[in-house]
Amino acid sequence: MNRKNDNPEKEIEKEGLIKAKKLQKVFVVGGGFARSRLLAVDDVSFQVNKNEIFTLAGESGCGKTTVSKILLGFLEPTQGEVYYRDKNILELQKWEEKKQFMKEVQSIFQNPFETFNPLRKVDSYLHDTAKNFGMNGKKRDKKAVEEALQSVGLGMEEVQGRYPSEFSGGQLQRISIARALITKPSLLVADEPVSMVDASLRMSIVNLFKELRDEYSVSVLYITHDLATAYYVSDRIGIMFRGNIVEMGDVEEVLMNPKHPYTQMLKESIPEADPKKKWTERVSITELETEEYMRKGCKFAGRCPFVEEKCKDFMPEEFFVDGRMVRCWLYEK
Amino acid sequence: MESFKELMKDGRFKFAFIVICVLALMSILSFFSPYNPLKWNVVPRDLPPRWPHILGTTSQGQDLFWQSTFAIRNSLIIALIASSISRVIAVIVGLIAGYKGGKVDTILMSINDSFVVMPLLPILILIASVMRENLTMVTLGLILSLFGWAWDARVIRSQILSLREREFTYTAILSGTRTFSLVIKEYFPFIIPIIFSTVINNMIWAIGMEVTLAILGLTNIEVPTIGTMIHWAVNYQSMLLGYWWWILTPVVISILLFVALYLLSSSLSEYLDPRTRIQRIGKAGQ
Amino acid sequence: MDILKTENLKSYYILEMGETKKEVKAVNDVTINIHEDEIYGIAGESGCGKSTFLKTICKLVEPPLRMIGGTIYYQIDGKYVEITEIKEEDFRKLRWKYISYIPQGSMNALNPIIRIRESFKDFFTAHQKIENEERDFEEPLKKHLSALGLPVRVLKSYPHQLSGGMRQRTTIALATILKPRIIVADEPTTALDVVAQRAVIQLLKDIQKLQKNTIILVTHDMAVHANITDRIGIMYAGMFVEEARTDDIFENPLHPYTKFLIASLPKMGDKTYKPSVPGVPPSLSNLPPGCPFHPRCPYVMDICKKEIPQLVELNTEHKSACFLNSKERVE
Repeated sequence: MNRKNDNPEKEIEKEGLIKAKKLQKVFVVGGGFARSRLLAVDDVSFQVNKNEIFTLAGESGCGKTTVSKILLGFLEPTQGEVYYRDKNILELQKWEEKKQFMKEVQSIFQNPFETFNPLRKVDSYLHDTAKNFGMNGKKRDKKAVEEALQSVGLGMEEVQGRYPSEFSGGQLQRISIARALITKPSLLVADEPVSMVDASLRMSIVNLFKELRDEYSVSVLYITHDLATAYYVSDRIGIMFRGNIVEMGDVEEVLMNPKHPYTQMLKESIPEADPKKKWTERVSITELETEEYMRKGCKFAGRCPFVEEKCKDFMPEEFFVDGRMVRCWLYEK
Repeated sequence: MESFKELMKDGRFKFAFIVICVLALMSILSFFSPYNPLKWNVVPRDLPPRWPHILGTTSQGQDLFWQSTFAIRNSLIIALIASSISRVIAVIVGLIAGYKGGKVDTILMSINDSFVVMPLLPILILIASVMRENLTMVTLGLILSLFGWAWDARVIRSQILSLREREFTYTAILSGTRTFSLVIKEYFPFIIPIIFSTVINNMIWAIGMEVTLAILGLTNIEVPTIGTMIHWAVNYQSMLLGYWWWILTPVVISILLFVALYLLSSSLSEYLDPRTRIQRIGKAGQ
Repeated sequence: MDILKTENLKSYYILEMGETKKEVKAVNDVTINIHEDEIYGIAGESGCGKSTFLKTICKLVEPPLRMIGGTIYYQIDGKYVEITEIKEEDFRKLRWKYISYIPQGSMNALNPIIRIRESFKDFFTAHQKIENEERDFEEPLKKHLSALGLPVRVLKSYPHQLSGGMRQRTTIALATILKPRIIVADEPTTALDVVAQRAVIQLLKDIQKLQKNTIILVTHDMAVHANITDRIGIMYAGMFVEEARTDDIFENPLHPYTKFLIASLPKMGDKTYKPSVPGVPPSLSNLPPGCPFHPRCPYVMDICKKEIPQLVELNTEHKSACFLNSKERVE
């Protein structure tokens, strides 16, 4: 892997690597006479810059996984575009172009045990990746695989000839990351990469992301519901709620000084791993989730402590306050 | 082979394997038969089992033992032709329908379902009664294969549909694997147990069909098969006349064959089932 | 008094593949005392044996899991009763009335085709006689739900109409309606969103305050433990390696594994480097000799490789199973 040259003045490149513009995704649920439309992703725009870790955070069902699938080209959006290095990925028709995109944008998934076929040896995926992305020649392929494994702290002997069931979740997740790194990607999309990894090994993977950003110039799109690790590892963050990004900006700003009522509530509700900081107030929760998805105006209107009439009828626009984006009528000025 | 030793530990497989070996041996013996199976009255008629006619003789003057060797051989040939060709069709249809989805899937499944709901026996009876003497073993095998793929194609399709949604499909795509290799590398290990267990079931079905058609007198009854042997035995009223060895021989052979094939199928499919395979892999990892 | 005690409890999964036998030592010699009127948390990695421990103490041991040795005591009306050998028919009287088990993923265990009210009724009638429906069933049910802050209208709903959080709370209400003395909950908040998680934890706290019983809570989420438990037991490779009051675990962890665990917890507002535990957890069917943590322990000594350290009380209510800790105490 190419390490960045030791440069005392670290250049921060704020160039957009991948840009999502007004993405919308509608799923048709049910069949025959009982069909209904589920607006899973609604008017989502954001970008991941070079040398940055961007988190897309939100509860399960907020649409973040759908967004990641659209970004990877696995799902077509109902509306909107995705630009990678200023090229619209939806217009990529030829296999060669798609392959080039995959070379630069790789992904790892939530369940390390599902990431690999239980009936295939794990290293076969690594070798396939090396061969298919033209590392050229058997010797070079092997070297590429070895290097990738080393960068995640694993050795060839540990991995060779073994099946997924012979590894722990943490190890498999690292192997999955190693596979993704073989093509020397510029962007790694990590969908809930540590939620199924034991607490004791979680930080090693999260620390690895930092290393990838700092030493190998790999940007990471980190998708999670765990705000604590999001705070720890990311530069910028976008908070998603029921298909919209409701707040987005520098992670320090958004999480330490949240402006959107949902972000505020979210931050309140995260249990702190500190017995001195127990929750003191009570909370009420909704009973029917689907109601919120189908709302006309702001989807949080049903639970928002600052709700006004306008909120129920009109979806708030994106307003820019204090160096971040907030989608809330409170910040209209 | 390791796998073979493992399989032999399963009582079912052991029994099935032995029986099938015996039957296979008998079908090989058919090449050494001293009598021409198509000729009548080559031996004294209606003799009960006694050396040298160890299974007795028929009212047509044929030695039951040597007839059986041909019968087993021919029935097995029909069954093998039918089941292997229908597997190929089932796999191709199932794979394409399952992976492609959309319009292709709809079209293929409509054709498939038509074959599934077709009333098989009446159609076979119709075909057989039209073709009669031209219905050679190979022809019969081919016709049976055309009707034997539909059910299993759907089974394979369902398996592919569920595999398509599993995360490792995406990992393979991200590894640069293209569709065709993906299906072979990733999905085949899951499809193979289905192929194995259904091939044997299909063979059982094919033999059953052949016996049914033969008893009804619709196949070429000159050619000795398990079915035709039963046909002649019934026709000559062997039970009533007390020639029990004549009807019992093909019946016992067919029962043995069915039971052995069934046990083979269930023990093999259990062995090949991905879940038990994974457990065995885990053991090897220590 | 203690409400539940175990002594040298061992339960293994016995797996046989052909000729080879594999013993997964999920609960490996556990001696623990759980007090009355407390919330006791059990923390540890996935696969460390915590769920198996819960199943064992609730007598939900089914092959391939087998209880190999040790004893379990319940405290019933002031006396310790050994329930290890008790017959299933006798134990059935204790289930749900004395000890109640909420398994992992239980929010998905409600019968999807009947209304919640019917689920409750089925459950009730299986354990208690209903002579007058209004008096014996409806009244206590409504009272229970309102005491727990659950809207009575959930009774009329079907499970799929409720959110995950609401279903989980309903399941907890169901498990506690007969006012059991011990509630055992296995990962009650996993797979719930943060707000629902908070509501569930709130609910458990309320129940405990109301019914003054004991809750044994298993979760790998240390933040949940911090918020609700009085004491925590840390499990590793089938053994309890540390046990203390919650504050002590977080402020003064003694066992090297616990130390690593606490140091690796990310905190909001804190961007300093968080290490993780080196190495990998051991396979429960192939445990190293001596202390199961020794291959990963930076303080490993010779004795650690040979002998298994026992849980020893080092400070008030603070136990640790580590030769380093007991050595320090001696010195």
